[in-house]
Amino acid sequence: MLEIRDLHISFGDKHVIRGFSTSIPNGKIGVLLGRSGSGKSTILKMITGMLNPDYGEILVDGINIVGTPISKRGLGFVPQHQLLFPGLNVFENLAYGLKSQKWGREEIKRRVSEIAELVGVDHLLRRHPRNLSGGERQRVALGRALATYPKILLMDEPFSSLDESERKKLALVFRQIQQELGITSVHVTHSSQEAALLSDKIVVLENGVVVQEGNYREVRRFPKSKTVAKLMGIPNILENESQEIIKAWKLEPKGEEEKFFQVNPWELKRGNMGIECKVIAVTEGIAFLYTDGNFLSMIDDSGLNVGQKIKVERHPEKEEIGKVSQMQSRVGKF
Amino acid sequence: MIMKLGGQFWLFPPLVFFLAFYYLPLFMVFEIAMSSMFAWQKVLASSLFTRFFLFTIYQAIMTTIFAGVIGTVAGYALAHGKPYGKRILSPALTVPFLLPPISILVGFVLFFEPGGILTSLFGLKFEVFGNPWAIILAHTLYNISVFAKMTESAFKTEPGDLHLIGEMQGANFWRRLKTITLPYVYPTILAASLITFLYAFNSFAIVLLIGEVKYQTLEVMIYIRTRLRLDFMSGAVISIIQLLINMIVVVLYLRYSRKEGAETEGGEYYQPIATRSIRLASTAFILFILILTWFPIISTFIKFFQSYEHATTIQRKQLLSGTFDYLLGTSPLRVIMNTIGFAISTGIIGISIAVMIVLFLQSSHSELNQYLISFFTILPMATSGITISFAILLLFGSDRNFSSLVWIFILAAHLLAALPFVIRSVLTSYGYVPEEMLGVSEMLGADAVRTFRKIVYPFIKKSLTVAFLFASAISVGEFGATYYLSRGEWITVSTAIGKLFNSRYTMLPLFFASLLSLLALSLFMIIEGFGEFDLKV
Repeated sequence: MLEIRDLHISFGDKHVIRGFSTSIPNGKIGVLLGRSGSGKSTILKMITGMLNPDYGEILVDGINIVGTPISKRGLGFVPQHQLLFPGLNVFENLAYGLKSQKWGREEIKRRVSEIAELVGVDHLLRRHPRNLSGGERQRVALGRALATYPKILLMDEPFSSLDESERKKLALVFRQIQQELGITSVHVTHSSQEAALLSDKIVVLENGVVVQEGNYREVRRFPKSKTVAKLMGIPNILENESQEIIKAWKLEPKGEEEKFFQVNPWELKRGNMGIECKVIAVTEGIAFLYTDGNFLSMIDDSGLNVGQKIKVERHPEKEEIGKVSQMQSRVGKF
Repeated sequence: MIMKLGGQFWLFPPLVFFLAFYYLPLFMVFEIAMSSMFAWQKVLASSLFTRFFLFTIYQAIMTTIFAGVIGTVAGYALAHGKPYGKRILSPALTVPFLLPPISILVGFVLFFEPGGILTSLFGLKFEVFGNPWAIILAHTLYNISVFAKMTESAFKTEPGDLHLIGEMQGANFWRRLKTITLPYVYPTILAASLITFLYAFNSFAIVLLIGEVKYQTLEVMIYIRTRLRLDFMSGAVISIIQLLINMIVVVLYLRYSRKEGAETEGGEYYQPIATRSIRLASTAFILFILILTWFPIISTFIKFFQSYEHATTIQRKQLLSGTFDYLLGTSPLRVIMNTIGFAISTGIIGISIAVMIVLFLQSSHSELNQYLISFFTILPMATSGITISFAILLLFGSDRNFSSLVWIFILAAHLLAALPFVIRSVLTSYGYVPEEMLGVSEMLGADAVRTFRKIVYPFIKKSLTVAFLFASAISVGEFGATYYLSRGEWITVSTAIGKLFNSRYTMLPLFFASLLSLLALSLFMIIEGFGEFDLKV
């Protein structure tokens, strides 16, 4: 179990992390979600030992590791940029930690072949990193991190530099391996899709402070602020909170801490009344509309034409999380 | 179509320049060398050639090894050792490379000669003249900064995450040095080694003036054969041999300088925590190198002020009067004006040629053109100053106006020394101009000049300024070609020092050497101010 209590760090006058606390139960994945500069990488650096907190505790299985040398923390790390040791082949990369820890030759061979099979690179063992694809390199990076039996696996946006299809595939491979090994993991990302696929728990960070935490469903359904809603990829948040739209569609304010207005795409329908919108684009049953400073999306199969002006009404129905995921997979983030 | 023609026009002036002052003269050298096999047999069978050829290689390798070891450790200390006062130490370490070799030489002799600082402070004796180790030491001091600056940049960009992983997995400092640092910086070390080798292999001033005929590089051999003995055939053969070796080194250099850091990009750079003792050790090491490299420079200033202080009023007045005109062929003031004139002209014409090449590339949209231009304009880097001058002399020397037009040939030789740096630096900045922007500008009907002014210029203006200053600095320090070609009043400060080096008048060469160092230092400080100084070509 990883438990973090009241972590603080400042750089000069800037208070970067202010009282960060969370816990990730054994065998679960905690996702640190936040925009660039929110402080998520700084927290990761404090866990690794690259930075020492001004105040606070980081407990791994109940033992505070603040001040413990990096090599003694029992951590595995998968970096963002598919970094492998440049002069070593795949086998040597996987064996790196084992060799450093003076394992015997036969033990190393056995462990490397075990881990190579687990991450699916057993056919690439003699290859040099430069002859691997991005996805293969990241599999090797995962294998290298897992080889030494770490207590906690840290992942710093490991899929961000991969293409869309590879990213999803690899995220699922990671999830499967993590479940198989039952290793406690921290995953840093700014992608709500990765959070949806990988998280047992989401911790949303903003300016060094936790603004919301919970499981994906909870955070997705009840975002406390507009920032959290945007980070979670919730569609149709009104940028221009026009009273005409709010009134016509009878929108209720959302957000416990910061009020905002949002309408679900499946609640919008073409009608004779409502708000006039211009059709900007139409793709796979989804129409993208513009009205009064807001870009919105609507599920529609009625054959709208680009440039057409239509009236849009709202027919509230119970929110279904499945619909959101389905829409996201069809057209990406809104 | 009109625009295409317009674009191609811009290539014409640079093409004429390179053809007239480089490729055609060089062709003459080839022609003479190939005209008779006898010259080849004579040179290759000569024991003197074998001796000096081996010496040229030997001293270049030794210089590379010494400068490499000291400079690489200094680069590591600067990058990761967090020495105290790094803001001053780092640029101070670069200065010797920018100083003209002749200034270094004067300081070196003053530092090591009997009665010099080394003897008076430490009681140590070191024979400078006719001592091969003195040549190697002078070359080493001059080149430590190349290694230090180039490797500092490479060490600073090591991937931090990889070190973190290594540390997490229990790898100690030496294992991380072997598996992360060295694979990452070795192309840089190789590139710096090749450039140092090239410098020492083509060294002229230092070897000519302290080698005392006993020790010669191929460069000095070419000078003696062609300029003093007028043996053009064997001079041409030696030039070809030297050129071939230089070309191999330049090709290898270009290959390795492109490879730097190619495999592990991205993420934060490695910034290890430096303890107090590491910081102190780093500071001490850098200071030690600075003392070694700066003492000779400072010696020049001290010696000049000492001799000025002890001089009589008449002697002081003689400094810039016509007293030494018979030695120099002109007045000291004219020498200074020549130097400044050549420097400014080299800067202006150098960047003009670079701009014309950019204007051509802008409208050609061809990567092949860019590659060919890079290749053909960098070739002068593989040709020594003496070979270029010899080639110019072969092509134009028979003209009866040669002596009166010699300033044009000196300027051309300075340009050929500066252009590989200038063009490569400007083309690197030009590479950052988004191709789409050029396409959009062309689509909107802008001609080549307007596209250059509005789109390209903002991207390359900083590198143009730095290239101008750097070209001027190269011109100020150029020795070999000017020494070889200069006639009558067309001599520069550095060649004047060479002419006065062994004369009994010391105040004037000391004044010139101090002035040259000051000029180079000022140019360096301005370049540093732009924050774009890069020792790499």
